[in-house]
Amino acid sequence: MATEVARPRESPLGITVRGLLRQRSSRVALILLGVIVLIGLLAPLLAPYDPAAQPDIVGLKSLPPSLAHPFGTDPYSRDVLSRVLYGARLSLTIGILATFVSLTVGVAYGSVAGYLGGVVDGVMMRVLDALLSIPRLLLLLGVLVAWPHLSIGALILFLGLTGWFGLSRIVRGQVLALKHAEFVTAAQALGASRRRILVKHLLPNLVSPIAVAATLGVAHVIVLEAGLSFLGIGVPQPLASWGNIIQDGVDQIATLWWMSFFPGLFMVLTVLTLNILGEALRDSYERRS
Amino acid sequence: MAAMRYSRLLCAAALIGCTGAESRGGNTGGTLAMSTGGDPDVLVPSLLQTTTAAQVVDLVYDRLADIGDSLNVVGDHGFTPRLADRWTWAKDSLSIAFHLNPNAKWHDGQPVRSNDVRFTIASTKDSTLGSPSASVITSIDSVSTPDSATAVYWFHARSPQQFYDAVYQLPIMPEHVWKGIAPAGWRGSEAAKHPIGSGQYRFVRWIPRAAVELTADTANYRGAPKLSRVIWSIAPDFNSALTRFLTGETDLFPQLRPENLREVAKHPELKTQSYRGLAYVFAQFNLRNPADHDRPHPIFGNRELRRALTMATDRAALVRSVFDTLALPALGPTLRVYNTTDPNLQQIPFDLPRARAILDSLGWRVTTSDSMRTRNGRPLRFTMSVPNTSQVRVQLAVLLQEQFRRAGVKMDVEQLDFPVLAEKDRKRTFDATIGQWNTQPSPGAVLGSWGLAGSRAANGNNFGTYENPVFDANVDSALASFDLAARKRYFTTAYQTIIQDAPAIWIAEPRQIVGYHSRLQLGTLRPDAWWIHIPDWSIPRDKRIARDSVPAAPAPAGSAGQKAP
Amino acid sequence: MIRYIARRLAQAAVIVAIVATITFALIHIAPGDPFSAVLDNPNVSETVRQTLRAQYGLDRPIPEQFVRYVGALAHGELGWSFSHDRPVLEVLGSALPNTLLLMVVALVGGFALGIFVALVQVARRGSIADRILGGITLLFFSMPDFWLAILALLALTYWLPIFPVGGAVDPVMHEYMSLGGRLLDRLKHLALPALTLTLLASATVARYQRAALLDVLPADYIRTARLKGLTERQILRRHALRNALLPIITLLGLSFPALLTGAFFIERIFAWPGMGYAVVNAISTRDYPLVVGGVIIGSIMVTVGSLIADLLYAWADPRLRGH
Repeated sequence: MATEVARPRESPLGITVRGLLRQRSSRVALILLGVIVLIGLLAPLLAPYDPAAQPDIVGLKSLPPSLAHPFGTDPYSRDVLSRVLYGARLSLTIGILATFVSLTVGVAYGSVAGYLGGVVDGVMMRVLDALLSIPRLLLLLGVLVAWPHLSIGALILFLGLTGWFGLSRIVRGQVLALKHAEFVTAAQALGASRRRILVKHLLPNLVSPIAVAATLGVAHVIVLEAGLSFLGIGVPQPLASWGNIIQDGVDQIATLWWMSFFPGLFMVLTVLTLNILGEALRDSYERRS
Repeated sequence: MAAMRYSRLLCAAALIGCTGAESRGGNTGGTLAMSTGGDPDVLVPSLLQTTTAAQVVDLVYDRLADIGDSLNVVGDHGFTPRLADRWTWAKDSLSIAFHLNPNAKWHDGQPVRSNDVRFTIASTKDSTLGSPSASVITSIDSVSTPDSATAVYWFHARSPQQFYDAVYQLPIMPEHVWKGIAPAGWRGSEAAKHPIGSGQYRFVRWIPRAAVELTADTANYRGAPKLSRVIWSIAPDFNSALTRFLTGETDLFPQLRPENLREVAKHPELKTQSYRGLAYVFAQFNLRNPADHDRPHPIFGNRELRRALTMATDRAALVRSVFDTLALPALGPTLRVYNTTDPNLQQIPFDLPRARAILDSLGWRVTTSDSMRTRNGRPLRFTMSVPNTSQVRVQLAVLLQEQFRRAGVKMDVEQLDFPVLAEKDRKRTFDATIGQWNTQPSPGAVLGSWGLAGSRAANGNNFGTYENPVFDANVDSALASFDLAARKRYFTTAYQTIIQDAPAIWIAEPRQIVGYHSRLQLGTLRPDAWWIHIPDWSIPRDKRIARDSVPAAPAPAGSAGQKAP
Repeated sequence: MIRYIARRLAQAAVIVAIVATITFALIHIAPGDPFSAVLDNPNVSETVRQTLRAQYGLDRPIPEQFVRYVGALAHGELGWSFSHDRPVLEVLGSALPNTLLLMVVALVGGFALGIFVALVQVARRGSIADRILGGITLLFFSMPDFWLAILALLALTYWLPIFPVGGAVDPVMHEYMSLGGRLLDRLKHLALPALTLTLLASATVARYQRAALLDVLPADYIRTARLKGLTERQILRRHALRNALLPIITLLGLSFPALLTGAFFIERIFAWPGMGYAVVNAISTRDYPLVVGGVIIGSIMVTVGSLIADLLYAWADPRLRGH
C-alpha cells in the first residue's frame, strides 16, 4: 500500500497537537491524565501512610472506607489509598518504560526491514506475522512461567519486547514509501547524505504514528501488567500495583469490595484518558494525510 | 462380644437399615452438597494427602473399627466395630485377631476377606508405593490369615497404642482390585479414578476440579445411610466456594473464617457450628541446604539464628490478626486437646531487641543502604513458600514478612499451587514454608512430622529434616508408657527440646467453623474428622428442597441384597 | 481465487512453523530444564518418562531435539501435562470446545450489538444519544477484562443472586436434570461469562464500525443516493452498511487475539472450564508443557481466524475477486 509522503511544510507534530487541542474531550483527557501523572510523581508526598506498613494487623485490617482510610484497609492493615497512589506510580512507570522499549525496537525493526528490502524484508515480515499471531498475553505467559522470579526491570523488558509489532509495520511502510519517493532520488542525486534524508524526511513522518503508538501502548501495558499481577506473575509483594491490590482482595471480593473497586477505577480512568488522547492524535494525523 | 451385642442393638433401633433393602420412609433421602476449594489429590487411602481426598475415602472405605468420639488411643476402649464385628487379644498382647463381619461386601459385590486386610498392610509397607502412612504402622509386623474371615495382626512388641495403630491409620482396600497393578503405578491407574470400597457410600464420579459425587450404598452391611447423595462442589477459589454456600448452591462450607460470620448471619436459613480441630499451624525452616541435602542450610542450619527469628515474631498478634478469637497460639507441635500436653510449656519469648542482638552477635550486620542484614557480603534473605489455596497461610506469610523486616531480615513470599508446594516439601527444595498439620488423635503422630524416621524416609513428612535423638527418645518412651503421668513427663521433655531447638515457629491452634444449611441434622463434629458421621446425618422430609429429590443410584448387579445379622 | 487461497494457506503454515520455533526457543532458553518437573516427579510413571525421552530426545544435541520437536508437533503431540496426568493435547482438546463456545457467542453477540449501536450512533450523529453511546463504548473499551468480570461476578451472583457462581454446569443437579433442564442449566452458567465478553467485544466493534460508517458516508455514491431522495435510513441500510461490511470482516480477523485474551481472564474468574482456565491453572502448577501447548494452540486459532477472515474478505470484495 503506497503511502503518500507529505512534504512537511510545518512541523507535523505541531499540526496534530493543535488538532488535538481543538476538541474539548481531548483537553479534558489531557488534564485528567496530567493529574494522574502528577499523583504518580508526587505519591510519596501525597500518600497518607507508608504503602507497605502494617501498623496494626489486629485492629486495622480489612476496614471499609472511612475518614481515616478513604479507600479502606487491606487484610494486612495496609492503607489502600496509599497503595493505590503508589500503584499509580509503579503502573505508570512500567507502562512508560515498557512502551519506550517497544517504540525503540519497533522503529528499529521496521526501518531495517524497509531499508534492506527484498528477501530480508520478506523474512522479517513473516516472522512479524508469526509474532502477531500469538496473542500478547499468551506470549507473556509462555515467557513468565519459565522465569519465575522476575525483577521489575525484567518485567518491563518483556512487556516491551512483546508490544512493538504494529508500529514496526507502519515504520516499514513509511521507509518503503520514502525509498521510492521521487524527491528522495533527486535529493540523493544531488548528494544529500542518507542521514539528512532520514532526519529531514523520515522522522517527521514518523512522529505522529509514534505518538499514537506510544499513547495507546502505555494504555495496553497498564492493563496487561494489571492482568499479570492479578494472575500472580506480575509485580511481587509487597510492592503495590493496581493489579496487585485487586489480587490481594480477590479471595474475599464480596466483603472487601473496595480493594477491587478503587484500583480498577483509577485504571479505567487512566486508560480512558490515554485512549481518548491516542485516538484524537490518530484522527488528526489521518485527517492531515 | 460386647461389640456383637452393640451392633444388634443398633439394628433393632434402626430397623430399616438392617433389612438391606432400599430404605423408604423415615428420614432417608436427601442430598448433601459441600463447597470446597480443593480438588482431591488421589483417592487411594494409602497415598492421599489432601483433606478432600480423606473425606471421600472415609465415606467410601471402612476401617476395621471406628475410634469413637472420645478419641481414646490407649487400648481399645471406645472403639466400635466396622469391618470387624469383634476382636480378641492374645494373652501376651503381641497379636490381635479380628473377625470380619460376614456380611461385609465390596461395592462390586465381592465379599470382604482377610486377604484384603493382609494386602492393605503389606502394600502400605511396600517401599515402592511410597506411602506416607508407612512410617506410622511400623509397630505392626505383619498380618496373618488363618481363615477367610479372620485377620491376625502381629506386633513387634506390646505397646499402649497398638490397637490404635492397627485400626485407625488405614481403611481396608480390596486386594482383587489392586493386586494386579504395580504399586508405582497406583496413582495414575484407572482403579484410583473409580475407587471401590466397602463403606456406606459408593463412588459415582469425579470430574477433576469440578465435582466428586457419592451415592448411598443401600445394600451396605451396616445399613443404608440416611442421605442419598453426597457431593463435593469444587470451586476455583475460597470466595467462589463461599459464595456458592451463601447463595444456596451448596449446603455446607467447612472452612468459614471469622470475618465471614457476619455474611452468614445475614442468611436466616444458614447456621454455624464451631468445633475444636486437630490442626496446628507453623512456619517451618528447612535445616538442610535445598541444593545439597548433605550440607546444612546456610541460614537455618544455625540454632541460635532460628531462635532469634522466633524471638522476632509477635505470635500473639499474628494469631489475633488472622484468626481473631478462633485460635490459640500454638504451644509446639502439639495440641492442648491431648491429655499429655502440659499447657505451661516454656516458650521462646517475643523479644525484638534481643533478637536483633543475637543476629548481630552471629555476624549478621545491618547495612546502611536498605537496613537489611548481611554477613560476608551475603544477605540474610530467604523465600517463604505458601499454597495459594490457603488464605490463612498467605496472610501469615505477608505478616511474617513485615515482622522479619523489622529485624533486618528479608523474606520473599512465593505463592504456589498446592501440588507444586507439596512436591517442594517432598523434595525438600524449599527455604521456609508455612504448614499446617492436621494431626491424629495420637500425640505420637508427631514423630512422623518431626522425628528421625520422618526425616530419613524418602517420602517422609519431616520436610525440614529436624533431627534430634533426644526428642525421638523421649517421644518413644512416652508412647511405651502405660502410665499417664510418665507419658506426660516424657512428652513434656520432648516438647521442651523441640521448642528450644526452634526448627519452626509454632503459630496457632485454630478452631474450625462449619457453616451449614439449617435443614441438615448434623451429628457430632469429631475433631479429627468432622465428616465421619455424615452417614448418620439426615434431612427431615418436611424440609426438603429441590436437590433432595434425587434418589440414590441403584446398586450394580451382584451387590444387591444381603442377609440381616 | 484458488491461487489466493493456496498462497494464504502456505503463509499460515509458515507462520505456525515460526511459532513452533519461537516456543522451542523459549523452552530451551529458560533457566532450568523444563522437563525436570516431569522427570523428577516420583508420581509420574516410568512409561511416561520413557515416552518423553524418546519423543524429545532429551539427551541429544539441540538441533536434533528441534527436529524431533517439530516432528512431534506435526503429529499433534504437544507433550505430557503432569498436573493432569494426561497428554497436553487431550487436556486442551477437551477444554477447547468450551472456549470456542464462549468466543463464538461473544463474537456473534458482540458484532450484532456493536453494529447496532454503531448504526444508531451514525443515524443520530452529533446528537446527545451519539455522544452518550460513544462515551459508554469508550468506557467499556477502556475497561480491563478481568475487572469487568469481577464487577459482574460481584453484582450478579453475589449482591443480586441471579446467576450461578462459576462453572459450566451445576455439579449437584446437572446429571439428574431432564434434557431441557440440562440445556437451561448450561445456558444459565454460560450467560454471565458470555455477557461480559460480549460487552467488551461490542465496544470495540461499535467504535470501529462507527468510524468506518462515517468514512463511507461522504462518498459520492451516497451523495447521489441522497439526491435521488432516499431516506437516511434507506441509505444506511442499502449502501453504507454493505460497503462498511468489508471493514467488519477485517475486524473479525483482528478481533481473535483480543477475544482469546479476554476469554482467558473471564474463564479464570468464572471458573469456565475452557483452555484459558486450564492454562491459568497450569501457571501456578508450573506445568510448562501445558502452558506452551496453550500458546501453540492459541496462535493456531488466531492464524486460522485471520485466514478465514482474509478468505471472506477476498470473496466479499469484488475488487479483489478479479485477481
